[in-house]
Amino acid sequence: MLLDILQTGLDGVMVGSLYAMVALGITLVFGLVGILNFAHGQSVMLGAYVCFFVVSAGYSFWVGAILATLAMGVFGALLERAVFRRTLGDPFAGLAVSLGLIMIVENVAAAGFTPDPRFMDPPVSGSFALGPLVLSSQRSLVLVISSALVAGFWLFLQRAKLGKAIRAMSQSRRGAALVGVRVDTVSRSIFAVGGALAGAAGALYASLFAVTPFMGATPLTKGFIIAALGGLGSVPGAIAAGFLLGLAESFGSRYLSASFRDGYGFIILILALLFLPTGLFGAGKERV
Amino acid sequence: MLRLQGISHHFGGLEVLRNIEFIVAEGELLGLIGPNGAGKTTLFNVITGFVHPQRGRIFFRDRDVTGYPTYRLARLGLVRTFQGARTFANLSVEDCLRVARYRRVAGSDRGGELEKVVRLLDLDKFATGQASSLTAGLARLLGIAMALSTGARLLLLDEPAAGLNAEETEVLQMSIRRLQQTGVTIVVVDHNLHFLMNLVSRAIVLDAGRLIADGPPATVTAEPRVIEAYIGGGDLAGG
Amino acid sequence: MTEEVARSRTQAAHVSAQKLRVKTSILPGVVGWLLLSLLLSVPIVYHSRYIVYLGTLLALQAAVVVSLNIVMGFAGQFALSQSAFFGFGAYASALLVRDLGLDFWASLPLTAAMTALLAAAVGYPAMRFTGGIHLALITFAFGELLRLLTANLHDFTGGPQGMQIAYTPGIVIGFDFGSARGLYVLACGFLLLCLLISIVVRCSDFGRALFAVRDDETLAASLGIDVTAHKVAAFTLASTLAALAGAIYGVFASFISPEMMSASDSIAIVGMLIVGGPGTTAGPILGTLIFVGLPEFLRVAKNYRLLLLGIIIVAMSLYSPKGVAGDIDRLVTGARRRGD
Repeated sequence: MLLDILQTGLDGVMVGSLYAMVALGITLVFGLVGILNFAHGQSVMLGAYVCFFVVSAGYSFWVGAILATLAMGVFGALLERAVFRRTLGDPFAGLAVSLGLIMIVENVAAAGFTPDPRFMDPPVSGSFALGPLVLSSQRSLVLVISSALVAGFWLFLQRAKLGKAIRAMSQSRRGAALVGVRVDTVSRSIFAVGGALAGAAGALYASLFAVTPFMGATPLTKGFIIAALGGLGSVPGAIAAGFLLGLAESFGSRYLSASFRDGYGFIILILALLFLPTGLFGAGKERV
Repeated sequence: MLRLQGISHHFGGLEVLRNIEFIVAEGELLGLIGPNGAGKTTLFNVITGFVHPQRGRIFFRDRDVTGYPTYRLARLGLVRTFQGARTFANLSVEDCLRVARYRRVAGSDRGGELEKVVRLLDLDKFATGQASSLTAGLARLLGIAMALSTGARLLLLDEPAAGLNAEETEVLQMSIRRLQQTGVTIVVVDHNLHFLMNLVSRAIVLDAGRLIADGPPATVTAEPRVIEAYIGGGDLAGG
Repeated sequence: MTEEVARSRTQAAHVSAQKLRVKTSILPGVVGWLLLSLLLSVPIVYHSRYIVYLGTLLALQAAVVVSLNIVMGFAGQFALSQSAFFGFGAYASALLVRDLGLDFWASLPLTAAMTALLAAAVGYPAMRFTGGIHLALITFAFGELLRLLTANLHDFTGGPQGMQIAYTPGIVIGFDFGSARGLYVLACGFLLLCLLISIVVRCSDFGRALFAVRDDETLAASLGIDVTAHKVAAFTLASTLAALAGAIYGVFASFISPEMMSASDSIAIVGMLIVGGPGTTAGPILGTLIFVGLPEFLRVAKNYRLLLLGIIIVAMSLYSPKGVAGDIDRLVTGARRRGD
């Protein structure tokens, strides 16, 4: 029984950290420019495909993952420059644009990659024993990597110059500009970093699940739920909420109903938005 | 008309309003002044229902309205204007006024009111134009016109003169005086002391959340406490 | 001239360039409505199965966009739950017929009542405390939740496989509404009803208040408007109309499934409204025609169709935020001005 709980819990944490990676990109972009980037899920999908093709070409997973991360970072920066820069003043337009982008990217991918699901060979397979627990090797690896990335990103925000600039900007754009932060550069970096994280998440997703052109929808939805739950714009909130959601889904599926798995998140989201509009720690931005 | 009793409010650890008490009589033209950070904006927001005071009560026309939401206060006749030229950008001037009349104060006279207000503020030529195409000065007047069209008994003007040039300020002053003559009670908050002192018959001075003076402008501006409050923060004679 | 005045003047000019002037006179609306009625009656006379089928589909789709326009175009509230209510209406009607033995027509007012209750129950807390993005998320989540619930309550709703609709609207005043042409008339009739409601709302005080709420909630509240009540009213009306459209769709397609409530459909509806021009009367119609009609007309494959639409949305949002209706209006106003 206890074993079962531990197992479910670990699984929840793993899923949660993946979700958190996606959510970070969303929450940062929102905190910065007030846009909910609906197209963020596409970065995950594209990252997954990049990794898949690299691995299929014979390279190792690590190469694939790194390339996916870099490629999506560039993609994010491109999007900012070409598209979102124009919609800064009008969140309505920004939202509309990102909706349009989803349709474009998804369908170009479907046309280019065909809608058949692709399966990538994971870097490790099988399972191993950790005391009385039997854990899947790949899932554990994903857990380690994603937790490391999330922690690394957190450190980056706290210590690195660019990271601090990002934090300053998400609090006050004008204030940041006044103290000499290069607003344009930092804006682009935020989209780039968010994209990179999504790309990395995509690679990790590819190692566990099937890759299809429409796979971006789920991480996107989870990402929104987490970003909102954690407080839109708050990084620690997103991280905490990510793990919470992962655990909730894991335990809900295991002990309540598995086919309703996605539903738990939505219930949590609705409750959170109604009763905790500033997110878990009250750190998010209030009424938009 | 309006009575404030023991109004106190703090944000976090900062006491923004301390035991504010005063009465506004019907038909008065009252000015609310004070240096930056004195709490004028907060007090304004408390009176108009944007902020619920932590302590104290507000009475409007002998009714306890503490904690009432803004729209309810407006329906009772307590209406405010906003800083800057705040109108419904997508609507025509005419429609802005129609919206204002939509939920007018119960019992206020209808018909002719719209025309009266528009003529009073010389807005007729712009009636069918889009609100967003007005100049700042006219938009201010439109804001006041809208507030009036609700049939307001007590009008609170938030920095109506900010950013206006000398000519526009004069027009504004004249308009406000004409308004008072129609029987509306008016409270004005502004930084432009020259503008205020030539307009109001009574002034209330706030400093660091406390009410430090209350009386006719000439008397109030001569009080040592008031002068002290303004040193380093503004200029009593100019504007 | 002080800096602030100069700034606010350029701001005002900029804003007026961006926004679409709200027209609240009723005459153009009524004239347009009559013209549309005429246009819609054409396929009945000229017998073409394909056109009648397509027309029914378009009419129902347009009706949903018109309903969204009331809450999003007029009141400015970002509701992503239209298709969820569309599906809810279909299921509610079907279940009322199946389990309570009502006929199609009797199920409609009950469906409307149930939807109104649900929408008010969801809308009130959602709109009281939030706005903008938060509202979009809540309605989005609610829609998905409804879909998942529908898919999971197998015994009640038939689960993810959906439900067959074996009944038809039947014969009323000698006219068979169950036939292809009958359904077309029903769908168009409903569309015209929705448009009529939209026009009437737009030209009424209530509609003006909605536009005011859209522009500036705080200002509207300061003028005595109960902002939350108005938002919820618009949302309830819009959701109820969408639900009724769904009920009609059920008998048209003879089959309903939880997929009707998909979020991507809600998003597509938003797309149609944006392309057509939110806040206008003709906007939803134009948007639907472009969104659904154009790809059909150009006979492109499904994937490319969505791709095309995505491109249109992005282009429109960046260069033409008022939608097609806005552009037409701009041309017409420009021509009129030049004519003076």
